[in-house]
Amino acid sequence: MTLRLAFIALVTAATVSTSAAQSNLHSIFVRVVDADTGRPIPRVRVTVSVIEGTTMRGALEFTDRQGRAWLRRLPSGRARLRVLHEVFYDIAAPPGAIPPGVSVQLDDGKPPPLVTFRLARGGTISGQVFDEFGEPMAELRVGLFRQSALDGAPTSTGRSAITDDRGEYRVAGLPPGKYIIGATPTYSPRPLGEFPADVLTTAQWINVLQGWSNDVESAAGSAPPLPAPVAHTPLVGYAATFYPGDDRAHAQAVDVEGGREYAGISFTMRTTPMAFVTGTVTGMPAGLPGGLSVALVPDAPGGATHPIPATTIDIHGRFSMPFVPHGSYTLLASLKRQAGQDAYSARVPVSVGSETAAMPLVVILERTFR
Amino acid sequence: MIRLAAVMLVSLGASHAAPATAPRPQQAPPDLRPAVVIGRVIDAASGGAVRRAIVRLEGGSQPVTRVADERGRFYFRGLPAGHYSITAMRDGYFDGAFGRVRAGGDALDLPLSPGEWRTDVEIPMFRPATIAGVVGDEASEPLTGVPVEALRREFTEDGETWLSVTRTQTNDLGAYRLTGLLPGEYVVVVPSVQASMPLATLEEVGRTGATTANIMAVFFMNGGPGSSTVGHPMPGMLFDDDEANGVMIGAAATPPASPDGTRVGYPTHFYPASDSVESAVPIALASGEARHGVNVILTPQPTARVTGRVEGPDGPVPGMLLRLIRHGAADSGVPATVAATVSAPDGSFALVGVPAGAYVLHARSAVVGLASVTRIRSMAPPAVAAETQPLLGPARLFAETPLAVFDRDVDDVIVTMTSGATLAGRVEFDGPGDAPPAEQRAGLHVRLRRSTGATADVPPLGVGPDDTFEFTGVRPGRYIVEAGGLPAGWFVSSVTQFGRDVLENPVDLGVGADAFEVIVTLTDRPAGIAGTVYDSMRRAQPGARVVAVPAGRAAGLDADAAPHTVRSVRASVYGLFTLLGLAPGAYDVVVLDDRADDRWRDARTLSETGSRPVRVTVAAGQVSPVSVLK
Repeated sequence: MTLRLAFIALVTAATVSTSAAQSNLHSIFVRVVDADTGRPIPRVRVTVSVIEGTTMRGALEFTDRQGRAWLRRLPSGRARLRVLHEVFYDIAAPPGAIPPGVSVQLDDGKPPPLVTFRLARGGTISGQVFDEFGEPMAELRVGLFRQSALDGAPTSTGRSAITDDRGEYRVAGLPPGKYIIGATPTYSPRPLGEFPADVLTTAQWINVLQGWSNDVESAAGSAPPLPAPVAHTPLVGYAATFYPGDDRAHAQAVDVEGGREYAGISFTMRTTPMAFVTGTVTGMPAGLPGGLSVALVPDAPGGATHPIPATTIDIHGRFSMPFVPHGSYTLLASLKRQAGQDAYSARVPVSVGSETAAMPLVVILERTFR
Repeated sequence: MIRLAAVMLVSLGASHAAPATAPRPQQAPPDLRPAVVIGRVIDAASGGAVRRAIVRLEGGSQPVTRVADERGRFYFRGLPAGHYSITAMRDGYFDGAFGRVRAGGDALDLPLSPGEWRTDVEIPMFRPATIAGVVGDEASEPLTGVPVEALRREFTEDGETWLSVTRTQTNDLGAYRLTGLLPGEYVVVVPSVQASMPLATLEEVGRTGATTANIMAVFFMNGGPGSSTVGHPMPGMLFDDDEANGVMIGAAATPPASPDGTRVGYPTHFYPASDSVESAVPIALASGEARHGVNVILTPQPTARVTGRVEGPDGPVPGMLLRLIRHGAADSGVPATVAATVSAPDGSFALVGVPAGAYVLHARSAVVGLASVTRIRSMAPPAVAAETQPLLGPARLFAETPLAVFDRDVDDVIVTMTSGATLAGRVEFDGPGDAPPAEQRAGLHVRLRRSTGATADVPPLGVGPDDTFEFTGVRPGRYIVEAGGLPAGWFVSSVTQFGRDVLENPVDLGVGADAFEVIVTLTDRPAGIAGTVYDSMRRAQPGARVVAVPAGRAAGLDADAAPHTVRSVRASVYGLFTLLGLAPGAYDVVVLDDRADDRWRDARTLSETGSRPVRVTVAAGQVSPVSVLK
């Protein structure tokens, strides 16, 4: 995400390149050292953004083996420097905060400033994630959170990893502090058909259900009956699971010290009841374009297995969501106003439970404004 | 006992149904006794049970899915007689299937007779292989976030090639792990592509409303860095006004800045220490094998800059995608692009980070429209082609300029763009009856495939109501013309141009060299070969690999046969096989064990491990019988 933002910023920079080229250009020398040993750190990514009036310009360079970087051809103005490394962190940053960087003023006639950054080796958290049968789970997203000072809820640090084929994950370069580790599935659907419920793992359930969802979508044009394939079988899915294997209220933080590795932070994914939600949207006048989307928003976020993707109604106004954890939701359906048309929407409280699959929802759209 | 009872019931039923006085011929009632399948899912390497696999049976009225028990056992009952497929899925394995004898191999149908009990069905499952190692720099320091790719040696219809099959990144320890690998030969490569975009072009593109994804897609969907089958954009951007006046979109590790100001870079590196796939050391992986210690040390090399201008028929040409590709490696599946950029609005370009070597500078229109490309690759109906648009400048211009880079910058390179060629023709239907109705021809389309196996850059083209087609602006090169979306029961019998077979001799398109009157003939009386595979004891050989090679160029099964003319099928559980859709002519039919690998297109494998060839002549509209001794 950071890099994507950086790219957008670069595009912005491009739009002002002409004006920048017309002013006197400056340089900044940067030195990056290990705060503990004083040794230079090579290959540190150094970025600079310069604001000159209403325009901004940026540059990026890597440090050499002496920990030096030379940022050139910068316009006059206020420059902000930041450093980034996979293993080291900026000790100037408060815990959990984005490093503020260093600001310097680039003025004509002044010598190039020298800026020194002191970085410290971060900590590392690694471990394995298992399913309920004790087998490693691949392709889980393992995220690192900090406890919010406001309400104690975990807030993302933006650091995460995907488990490999051994169920292993590893996140390095962590500033000291207490981290909460949470995992959510990132499955891709596989087409499957009917089967009896007996000894499926939860992961297999998920694959099957997502496969059903695909089948429904592909057959939507021929008006098949709405699926209720699991009405008589208990459905389970994986809930967001926090180390040591519980919900977020019972998550146990890992107190990380710089330069240390915390291996074996392993846990087993938690399962939760699920339902296959289906329904029909009515009340949409004929002639309006299709593509109305339906979304389920949890009333109490945090209990979901993972974000429930919104779905689109078929040509018969029907929708299905094969993978919804039990709980209270608000169903949102909306059709944005087109040129010369009305806007329609619906907002329906929905309680998803074991009986949901047998009772398709009926969602009535209402005209919201013209 | 149960079978006996069933036979008695059928006998009783038959006698009960016999008419008392009617003299008309008797018709036996259908045998509706249900069949049963009992089997086991096993680990192909150990023979041990694979527990809790999802087992799926298809072929009846609807698929049936079961879950194997803790001992890998499963069953299906109540099955009507017929042909079925059985597959098994489980995390940690490739999908298994009845009759599959190697990971990624073909499955076989399971035939069931009325009332049959098959209690010996085994579904073997194969574990993926793994390659792991560390990437370090010249000081043996670990390199983090570096892309690492695995190339697999493949034998395709276009010949032997190396294809990128998976890609990963090193972690904070410089360690990587390439997983999900089929058995076979692999080369590990750390690709390096110095991709840049002129600032002025970014500014121009920004005005068109293109998104960041569009801009990135210019590189990643046009054969640039990461355009391999599984590649994904590797972020890490660096812009360097001093040299290129552009944005670097790095897909490579960056060496620390050189103290003396010399421009250095890590060139593409093949394990263990090579700059080309030809001199790399392949790694042979058995099914499920884990190979560790495949470590790579990158060494920086001096790099140069290549600058110049793109010229077209009407002057400077902006928005052209330029790729500097190692000489002789274009259109291969091997990462061969060392630098890429887009020409600026004034037609100028600058390629940076170029190590010394011999190259070909490829230039063509850079198109945007990521979603449409995904659909094109999936061979969706060709109408989606209209969704692609040139990034900037005109579409369908091409250039290929040889270039040598030594130890200094190369300036003032003039790249002269030329228009693409035209290939036109029609589809003809050759059958005893009428041509198929229009609704059956709706999906009929023609596509071009470069004879080198590379992507043709030309989306499939729907055949018009008058059965004609015309490709325009095609990049110069040699092309094979193929048809897809055929009406049911129809096959391609020939593709010719002025009577010349262009299935075996690809159409040559060049600057000013167009091709017309390409005739794709479809027939509903396909020619082919059908027969039996048996051993010296006259026993049928189930699952044998049957290969048909055009006889003229397969004398001694040497390497002269055009790979795409080599056809293959697996014999059934009864040793029977049918190969339809062959062009009339003489063929050599060879059988070999399907267990070994998927190299049946490889002439050497055929001659070394195949049976004695059996010559058979295929006439138009006829299926010729043949029996082959394995």
